Amino acid sequence: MRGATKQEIRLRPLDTHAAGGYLVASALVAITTVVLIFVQGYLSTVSGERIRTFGIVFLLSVAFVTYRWGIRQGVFALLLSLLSSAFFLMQPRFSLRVDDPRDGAEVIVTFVVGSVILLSLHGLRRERERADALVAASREAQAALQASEEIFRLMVAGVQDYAIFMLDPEGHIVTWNAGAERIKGWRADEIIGKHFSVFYPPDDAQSGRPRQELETATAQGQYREEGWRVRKDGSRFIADVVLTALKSDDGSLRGFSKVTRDITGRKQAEQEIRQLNESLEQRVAERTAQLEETNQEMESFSYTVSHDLRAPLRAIQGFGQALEEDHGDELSPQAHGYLRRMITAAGRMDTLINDLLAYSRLSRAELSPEPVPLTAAVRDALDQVEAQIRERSARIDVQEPLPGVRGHRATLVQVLANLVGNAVKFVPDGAQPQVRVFAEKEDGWVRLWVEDNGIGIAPEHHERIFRVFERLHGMDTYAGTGIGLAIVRKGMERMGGTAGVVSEAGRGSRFWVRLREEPDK
Amino acid sequence: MLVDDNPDDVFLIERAFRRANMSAPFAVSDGEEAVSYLAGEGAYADRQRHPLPALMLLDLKLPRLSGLEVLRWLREQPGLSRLPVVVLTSSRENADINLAYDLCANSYLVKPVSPDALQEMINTLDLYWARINQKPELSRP
Repeated sequence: MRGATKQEIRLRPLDTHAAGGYLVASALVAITTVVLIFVQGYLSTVSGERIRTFGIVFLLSVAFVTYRWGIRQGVFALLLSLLSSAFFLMQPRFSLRVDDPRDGAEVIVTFVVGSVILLSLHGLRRERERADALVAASREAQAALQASEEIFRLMVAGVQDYAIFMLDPEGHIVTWNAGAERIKGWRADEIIGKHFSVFYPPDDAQSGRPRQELETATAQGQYREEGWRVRKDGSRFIADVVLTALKSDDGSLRGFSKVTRDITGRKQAEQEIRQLNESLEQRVAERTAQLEETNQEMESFSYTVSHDLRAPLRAIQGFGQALEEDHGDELSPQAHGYLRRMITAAGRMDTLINDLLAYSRLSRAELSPEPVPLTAAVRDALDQVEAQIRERSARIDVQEPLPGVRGHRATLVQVLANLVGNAVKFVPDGAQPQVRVFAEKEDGWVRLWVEDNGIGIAPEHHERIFRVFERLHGMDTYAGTGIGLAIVRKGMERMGGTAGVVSEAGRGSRFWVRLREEPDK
Repeated sequence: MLVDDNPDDVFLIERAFRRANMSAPFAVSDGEEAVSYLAGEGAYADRQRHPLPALMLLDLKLPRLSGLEVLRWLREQPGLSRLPVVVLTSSRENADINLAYDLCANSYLVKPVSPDALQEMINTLDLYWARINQKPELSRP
């Protein structure tokens, strides 16, 4: 508001047009007055009469000023005319007094008629101004429309990736753009006026599909599809088509807009991806089946080993011993020695088979994790190796209570039995094995240590000893299959844990296993 | 009664029985024969010569009819289903052990390789099943 007021105040002194109106009014009244003074002087010398009805002459100027400049200038001219005629043309002269009642009547009549002319012309003028404004506005609107249409037309015409064109209500092509020419191959002058069914493969065109699509678009406002279309050269492509009915405000159908995109490339890519996926799935299925078969074979293999490989061993051992017991006196001491070796070897092979089977079971079996109290697991493990402990009169110190862990109980017991068994086995001749079992909590994990006073392991062997069949000693020194620690590592991995060793040669070993902590409830 | 297809094992088991001063069990060498014997069919129809056993030692891996199939058949026979069965086999596989117990085996033993261990096992079997254990009544179907 303040801005508007300021602007008005600033503009008014500059309005030279209005000021010019006042000047012209003054000049016209002055000229009319002078002319009338001379006419009056001439007439009075000719006829001795003084003319009175001259208001009409002034009113010409009033009308002109009003029409040209407006009502303010008109009122100014009228008042100036009345004053001027009273001052110069009526008795007494050079005074505003009007003595003659006929002159008074003239002033009043001039004023009334002048006012009527003023108001009429003012009304006329306003009407004209309004009409001018309307004409100007419509001219502006039309220009804007033309500009926008031009931009729109240029935009549509320039689009290369989409065919955008219009159809009349019967389906004849009305417009054509660059994209349409690029995608479909026809130039605008070749195609405009033709029916759009030429874009369809012959079968579709004959079955009346183009017409059905127009009907659908008319009924639902829009029709959308992905389908085959034909180019000018007869080649086909997959098109994404949107057909929109164009209706005027009263609902009558004006035609259709059609936007078509060539999506052949995209469709081919999709098809390739689908085929790749399918072949991938097939390959995965094949590999899975192969693996399952392998697993199955593995299982029946261990079953056979378990059942059949042991039977001959039993026979060797059994008959060897039967020979010794039933016919011992017929044999030489050397024959006895051979028999012993035979029986021992068969026994070793039995242990080997058992360990191998245990290891392969670990690789195959599902180990569902459960809470295991370590205290109980260690006790079970000690029970399993009790014979060895007793044989070597080992001292075992378990620092109870031990925390609970998450694992598979039977596997954990086997792992711990192997570790304790090793701890009491690998000691120097004549030394008493001393084993300490204790646990440490480590931020959600539990590390269980099995510490011995044995022969120790040089650091370079720390990784090797966990592999299957790895042994550091000859059979004569420390008997074994080389599978015990492999079972430890495999078992721990299958339970989501780890295993390792801290040791130096000659200074005892500290084996550890690590599992998730599971607090006792 | 002993059901085992391996003559070496049969010999060694029989020898262990003899050494424990017991009569050797009647041995058959496949699953079908075991079923015929228990059902009293064919050659085994004479009950005087082929009485029902007090205990069956059953191997699992047998020709014709596996040990587990024999066990399943046995447990479905009215009158016979109570027969105590001790599985005596080579397999240490959990699947075998669990399945045998699912089919109501009374015990599951793994044949030891060492003859001494076998002798000890047979002695224990004799002590437990023949002397301590109370026997059920049996009848042929």
